[in-house]
This record gives sequence, C-alpha cells and structure tokens, in this order.
Amino acid sequence: MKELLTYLSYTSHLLPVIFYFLFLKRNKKRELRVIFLYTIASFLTDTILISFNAKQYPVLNFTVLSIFTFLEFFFLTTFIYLNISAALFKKIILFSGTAFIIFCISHYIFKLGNQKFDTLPASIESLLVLIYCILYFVDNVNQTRESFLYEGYQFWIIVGILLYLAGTLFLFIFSSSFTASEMHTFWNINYFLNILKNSLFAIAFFMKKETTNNLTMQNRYNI
Amino acid sequence: MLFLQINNPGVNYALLITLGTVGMLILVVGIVFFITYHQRKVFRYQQTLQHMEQEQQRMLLNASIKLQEEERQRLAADLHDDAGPLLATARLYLNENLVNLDKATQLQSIYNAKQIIDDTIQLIRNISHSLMPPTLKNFGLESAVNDLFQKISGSGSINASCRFHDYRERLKPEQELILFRVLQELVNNVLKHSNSSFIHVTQNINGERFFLRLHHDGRGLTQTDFEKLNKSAVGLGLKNIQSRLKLLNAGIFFEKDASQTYYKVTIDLNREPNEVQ
Repeated sequence: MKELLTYLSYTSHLLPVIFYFLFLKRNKKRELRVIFLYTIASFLTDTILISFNAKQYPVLNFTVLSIFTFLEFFFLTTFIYLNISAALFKKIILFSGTAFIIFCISHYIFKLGNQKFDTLPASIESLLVLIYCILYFVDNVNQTRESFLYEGYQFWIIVGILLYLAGTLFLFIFSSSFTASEMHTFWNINYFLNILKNSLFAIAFFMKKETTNNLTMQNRYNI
Repeated sequence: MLFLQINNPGVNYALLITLGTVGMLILVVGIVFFITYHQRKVFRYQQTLQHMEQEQQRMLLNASIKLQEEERQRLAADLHDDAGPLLATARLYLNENLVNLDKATQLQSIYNAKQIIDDTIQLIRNISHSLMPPTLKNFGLESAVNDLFQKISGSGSINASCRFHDYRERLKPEQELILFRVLQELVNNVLKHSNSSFIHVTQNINGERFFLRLHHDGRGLTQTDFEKLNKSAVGLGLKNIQSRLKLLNAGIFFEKDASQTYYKVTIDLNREPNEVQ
C-alpha cells in the first residue's frame, strides 16, 4: 500500500506535464510555464531522492532538498507575484522573498552535514507561500471581476498550493523529531497531498483560458 | 522559530501532526469556501446592478422613441388637418379661375387663393418654429428663454422671468437646443401640475460648470420623486428630460428650497463654448 502511494505520488508529477503538452495552445501564459517548470523540478527531485538512499548519501539528499525548497519557493512565489495586482502586496512578496532566499542559502551553508531534512527552511517556505496565497485571494476579492473566481485557472493552482502546503506544514515542522518508522507512516500525508496538488494543476492546465473563462456580462445576458 | 526544532521525547507527535494537519486543512478549505461564496455574492450583486441599469436605459430609449413618434404624429396632424385643406381650397379657387372667364370673379378668386396661400405659409412657419425656434438659432439660449417667458407672462396666468448672469460665450448649438427643450418640458410641467404663481430661471457659471436653476412656488418634485418616477412606467416627460441630459453628460437635481417655500431644479453641465459665434 505504502509503495503504491509512493509510486502514485511520484508519477502524479507527470499528470500536469502531460496536460500541459496536450493543451499547449491554451497554456502559453508565463504563469503557466512557471507551474510547468515547478512540476518538472518536483519530478526530478523525487527521481534523485528515490535513486539515492538518504542513509548512504546524506549530503546529496540535504543538498537536493535544500535546492528544491529554494526552487519551490521561487516558482510558487513567482506564480503568485505575476497574478497579484496590488503594488503593496507585490512589495511584501518581493522583500520577504528576498529575505527568505538569503536565509535559505545561509542555512544550507551552516547546516550542511548536520541534517537529513531542511526542516526550518521548508516550514518557513510553507508559511510564507500560504500567506502569499491569502494575499492573492484578498487582492482578487477587492477587484471587480467579470467572472467567478473558480472559472479561472489561477484559482485551481492556488487551491492546490494551499492544500499541499497547509497539509504538510506540521509534517515539515516536526520532521526532525521523527523516528524512521514514524517518518514512514506520516510521509503518506505528503504523498496523498502531492497527488491532490498535481491533479488540481492538471485541471488548471486543462481549463480553457481567456475567451470562455473570462465571460463578460454581455455574454451572460446574450446581448 | 526555535520551536520548530524542539525535540521533546514526552510530546505525542502523532497526535500533534494529526490535529495540526487536519486543523490546517479545515482552515484552508474554510478560507477557500468563504472567499468563493463572498465573490459569488459580490458578482451577483454587480450583475443585478448592471441589469437594473440596462432596464433603465431601455425605458429611457422607449420614452425617447415614443416622444419622437408623438412629435411626428403632431406634425402629420398639423400638415394634414390645417395645411392640407388650405391648399385644397386654394386649388379650388384657382380651378374656378380656369372655368369662370369673368374678369372680376377671376380677380376675386386669385385674391382669395393668395390669402389662403399666405395663411398656409404662416402655418408652415409656425410648425417650423415649433421644431426649431429661430430666436434660439439666431440669438441664443438667453433670448429664446426670454421669448418663451414673455409669451407665458403675456397670458397673465403666471409670472415668468429669467436672468442670465454670465452668458457672454454661447454654448454649442446642440447644447443650447437640448437645454431649451429640457427647460420647455420643465416649464410645461410647472404650468400643468404645480399651480404656482411664478417661475424664475437663473443662469450662472462656476469655473467650467454651467448652471441653470428654475424656481417656482407651487407643488413640485424632490430628487427621490424624480428617481421614483423615472424608474416607473409613467412620467414620460421626465424620462425624456433624463435621456436628453444624458446626451450632454449633464446632471439634474430636484429639491425643495431651504426655506421650504420654493421648489428648485438645478441643471449643471460642463461648459463647451461655441467656437463659431
């Protein structure tokens, strides 16, 4: 069962990639390319982590995880940044993001060889991206829109990010305190949420963009 | 962030993680539901507002079309009932002229035909003046309003007066015509419904804004009444005022004077002076 979930979680990265290429004409926006690159980075990271055992290659594992935390933060933040219009929110993202990247690099340098998992950067990253997602919603609710929020692909991507990061936040916070068997059990949460996130990303890539997504009042009233 | 790395053997991590994860997921789902629900509500409200606006536009358009049709009917009736018989009579006299060879009778019938043609010319002139007052075209809004008010005062039933404080630069002809029509409609309403003893119109300029104010001491409307009538099926004249002023991007405000004695109607618009004076 555990192996099946691990396998499903690993292969679920391919789902949005397939949908991205299947509906390439709909997915030419910059923001969608960012999410596509993020899924590719997730897939490659999982491939390396599965191929190289953490006990045999602790430094490599820590390095790969640290790089992934940085990349994940960079891609997700870029996506949210591109979809936010309020200048204040953009500034908040820019300053806190820069501070976090500096922290990530220094944490990697100082903790290399001492840890298996980058608990602290991963937890802070989750918290920051969660806050950015809330900022995205606040920004969108304040705007006069011509369509429902869930008619846009951005909504499904943000919901995917929110569910994944909110669900794994406590897992990352306490990951350094786990025994191997506890880790084995609890990591199923990560696998399950990963599958959910990738499915939502696939929905976003599948959705029609612009013409039907952005229904105007005239279309609605047939005038 | 030190708490993130506390490793206390007495803590039940399984329970903490389960509760924390479930709690966070519930929180996120709650936030998403709330935001979606709120946005739907706002969106539906905006749709309703837009719908109402469209409905009002439709009513204004209907009113303006109806008024145009009424005007055409009046013109058709004037031409058919007055000009038509006059010209037919003139034709009869001229026909008589061809049949009757007696010189004196011929002269009499030509004279009669001339009289009738003169009457017809006057009639057509009157129709033409009612369509576009020559005073307005040649001398501007101030003279046209003065003219109109002199005629009203001449009837003796009501005292109508106007005062233009700053009208050295005339407005564009189309602006003047619309304002004159609106003023005619307002005055007509006052005469018909208010039972007032006087009408007084003043004109002012404040910066780039042009103001026309009409005062009277009879029964009148407030802005709430005006808006209510505008949204209802009745009040064709008021709808017509609204649609005419919309063309000028002008505003209209109905109110009762601070002294509660007079009713006041204020029209304001952006001044666009006539380049060809």
